[in-house]
Amino acid sequence: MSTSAPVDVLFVLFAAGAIATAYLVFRTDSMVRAAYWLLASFVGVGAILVLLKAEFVGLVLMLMMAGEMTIMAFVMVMFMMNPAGLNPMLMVHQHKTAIAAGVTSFLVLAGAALLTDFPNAPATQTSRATEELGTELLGESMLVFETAGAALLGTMVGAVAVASRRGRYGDAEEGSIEPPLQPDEEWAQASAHRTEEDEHEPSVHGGHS
Amino acid sequence: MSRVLSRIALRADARVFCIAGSQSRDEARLLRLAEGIHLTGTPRAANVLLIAGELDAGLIAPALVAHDALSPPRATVWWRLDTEEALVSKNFPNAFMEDDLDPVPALRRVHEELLAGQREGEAPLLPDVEPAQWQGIGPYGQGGKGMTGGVPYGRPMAERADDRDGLKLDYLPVRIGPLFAPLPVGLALDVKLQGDVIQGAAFENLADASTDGTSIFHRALRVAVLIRDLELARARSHLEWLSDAVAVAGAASLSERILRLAQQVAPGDGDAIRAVERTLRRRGFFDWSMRGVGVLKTNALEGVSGPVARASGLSIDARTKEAAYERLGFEPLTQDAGDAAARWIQRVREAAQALDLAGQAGDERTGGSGAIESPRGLLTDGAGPSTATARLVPSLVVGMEFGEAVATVVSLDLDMSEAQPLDNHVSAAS
Amino acid sequence: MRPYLSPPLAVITMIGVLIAGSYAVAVLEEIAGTLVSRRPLRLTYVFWAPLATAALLLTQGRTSTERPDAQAWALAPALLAGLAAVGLAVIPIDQNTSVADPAAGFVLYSAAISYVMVAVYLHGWSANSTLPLIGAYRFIAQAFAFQIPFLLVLLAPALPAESLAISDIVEAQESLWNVVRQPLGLPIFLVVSAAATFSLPLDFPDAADLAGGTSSEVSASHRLAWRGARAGLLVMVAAMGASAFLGGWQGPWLPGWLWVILKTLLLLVILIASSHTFARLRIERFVVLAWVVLLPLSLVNIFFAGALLL
Repeated sequence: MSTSAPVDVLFVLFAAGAIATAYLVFRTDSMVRAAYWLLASFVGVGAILVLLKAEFVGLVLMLMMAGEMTIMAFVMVMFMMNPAGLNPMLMVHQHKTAIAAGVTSFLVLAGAALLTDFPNAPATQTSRATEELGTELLGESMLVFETAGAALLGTMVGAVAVASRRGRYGDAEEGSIEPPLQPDEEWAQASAHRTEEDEHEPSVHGGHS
Repeated sequence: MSRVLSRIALRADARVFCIAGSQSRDEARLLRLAEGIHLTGTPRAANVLLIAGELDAGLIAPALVAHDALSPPRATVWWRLDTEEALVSKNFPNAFMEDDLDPVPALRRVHEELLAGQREGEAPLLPDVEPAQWQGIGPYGQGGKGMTGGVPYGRPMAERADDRDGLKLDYLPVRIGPLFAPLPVGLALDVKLQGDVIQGAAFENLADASTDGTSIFHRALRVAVLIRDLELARARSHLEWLSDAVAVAGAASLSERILRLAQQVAPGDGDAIRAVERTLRRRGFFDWSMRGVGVLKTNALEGVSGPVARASGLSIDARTKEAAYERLGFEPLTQDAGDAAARWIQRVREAAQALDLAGQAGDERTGGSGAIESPRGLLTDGAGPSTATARLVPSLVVGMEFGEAVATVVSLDLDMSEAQPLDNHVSAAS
Repeated sequence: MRPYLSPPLAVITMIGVLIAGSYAVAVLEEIAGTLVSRRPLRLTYVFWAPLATAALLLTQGRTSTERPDAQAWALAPALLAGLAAVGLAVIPIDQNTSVADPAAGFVLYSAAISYVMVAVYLHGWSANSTLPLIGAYRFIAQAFAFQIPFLLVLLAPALPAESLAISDIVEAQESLWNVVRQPLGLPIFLVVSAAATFSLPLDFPDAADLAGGTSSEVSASHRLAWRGARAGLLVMVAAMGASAFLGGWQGPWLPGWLWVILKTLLLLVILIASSHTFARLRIERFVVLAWVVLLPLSLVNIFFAGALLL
């Protein structure tokens, strides 16, 4: 396999960076830092994919991980205020199991990497990697995948709609009412109860649960 | 290199963080129009602290904290505005005293001296220490039992509480104010935040009770004044409020234009104000920004008067009882919606109406009866309208997103020095 | 393969573009503010003010909050400026000149946009202070709302080009600019751009009702870096708009690079003028707008762009 020296140097840098930042995930006491160290590690892996001429896959990996890690950090900080930086927190649980699992999977993967006989087929400069990848992944089933994609997007929008303030169980400001388990009466009762309460409410607009 | 930078920096506007006493906020507001200085929303962006007038006792401690947050080299200017008490000079010993009517030259001078190295930057006024000793307990030293709670740094940590969706999640207790620029001077909101949603609220009034207001409305409690002057002052007050509110809504340049208009309007200029209303509507301030925010129903308005009440449909106005206004054909305006947009529209329309009235009033006089309709509502001897309005705040902001809560409080046009006497803590929770 | 600038020249170009772009944004901001507030326009002041302010911020000392995450705090503006540089790098300067023009240029640009979220979140969170934290929360809601329409509306110009490389997208507009071919594209792009650069009327994380939000606790050089990075971000989206919808370097008489600059400036003027024109939406309204209006519209846009090709 022939690669140029700068590419080799970059590969070593990114690989070392990915491993170092992955290690730091477990050494920090803050959720946000842990999430973003993990992101840094993924960026290293993405960069290696780019070096391997899998530009599209590498960049998409980076793109997706930015959103995912941010959601992780954000939801943890927003809904578990405690680790918002002020209060240190131990990020590692079940030490022995975790170490054993980590070491085992590393050995298995490293063994597979060393023992497998990989084909030597260097990518050419002119290869249209994106197009080939698309054909490889989707091939004949383009329509199926696109339909699934649109359906997933629809589901996502639906989920947002359900969770939004004016959700399907009524305005969140009024307090949401769960659907009844049996048809009719209970829902009606719950609603009647709500309205009655609202009449007595001296103040106004604003969420009451 | 740094000398070159300083030379270039001389051309910059002085960055001024202004803390106004509750009696000086009108004077301080006008500094937004001044050239050569720029008022910042946070002390960290400023290098000069301007204290306008005498500070209320409750504002001294926050002002000291703000002083230390200024970017060094820093300096303090005290714009005295005819005050005599010496709380400021006692607490800010290095403050440069300015007795002039216009503080801008002094601010520029201090700014330039700081840059030229002719004036030494002030040292922090408070010791740089933890507010409390680290008191970590619990399995990971995080300060409380389990994973939450405790006071590891002397301030309360997140606690579990119900939220509006019936989940049990952590909330964070924080204090907003009393120097938080968008809120009225002296209002400190203690809120329980869950994300950016307010789950519980209480407030403390840190402004000193105003013993004797100096405005024309206070004067009109005792003596008869020209309706022309009174209505012009009302229109100005509404426009100045509008300028503040527009600035909080992000439109600094439009806010400046409205503030300049407030200084220039004369009796009979109602059309100029109606043009402002059209501008605001076209730009979406009513429909995009404020519609549906902070709705006040009439049954919640106990004791509330003024534009806030009228924007919710209550047609109460002390002016209807006065013969002079009757002769001018005065009819109170009302809105139905009761939201922040309605309160904005109400004040803009009342400003236009006030200028129309002022234009027609001639030599008519009013006042002296001990009760007057001030821009914020019914003013009597010893009681201002903000007392009742301020009481609405805690229950109103619970359940709101933070920005919505700020917009709601702004739309109430509170004057905390007038909101006295008031039991200092008023609270509500979800 | 198109010819690239040599690495040293590319670095110098990027730094120059970022600085000149931020300066242009600051001057345009100053002019727009002066016109809207009806102050007399003093041109020397307008052109000096950004430089003088920058110099002032550089002479000042930095202050810190109580126990911030100092490294992450310092990283945030650098990350944001770096993202602006990455995004700008994929945009061709002229027909035969570009800093970097990878086959997946569109994906790289989109990745840069999605890391804006990381930068803003870090900036707000690491100050360890309430108002910046709330600003950070707001931007997450904002980012997830604008990102899908942003990607979709930029993907549509890639369809007629049948390529994800920006230079191919520009070249495909030789006969007809995308602003005409996809009439929904540019308006949607401008709205989501205002959101992506968190400038008014969608400046939720750094809003005045948070006293500056994520930047409310930063001082001196840090403040300058953040403002500069934000301005760079604005240039980055304007330059992309110019290339994806206004035909990039294409145009008569003038050299290509000048067309790129002029079109970018035009979009900057539109973005800055609207930031001084419209009232800030409420965050909740914006999120609804993005999911309920912008997302379906950008799907319609991409559908028609695809249908035109069949």
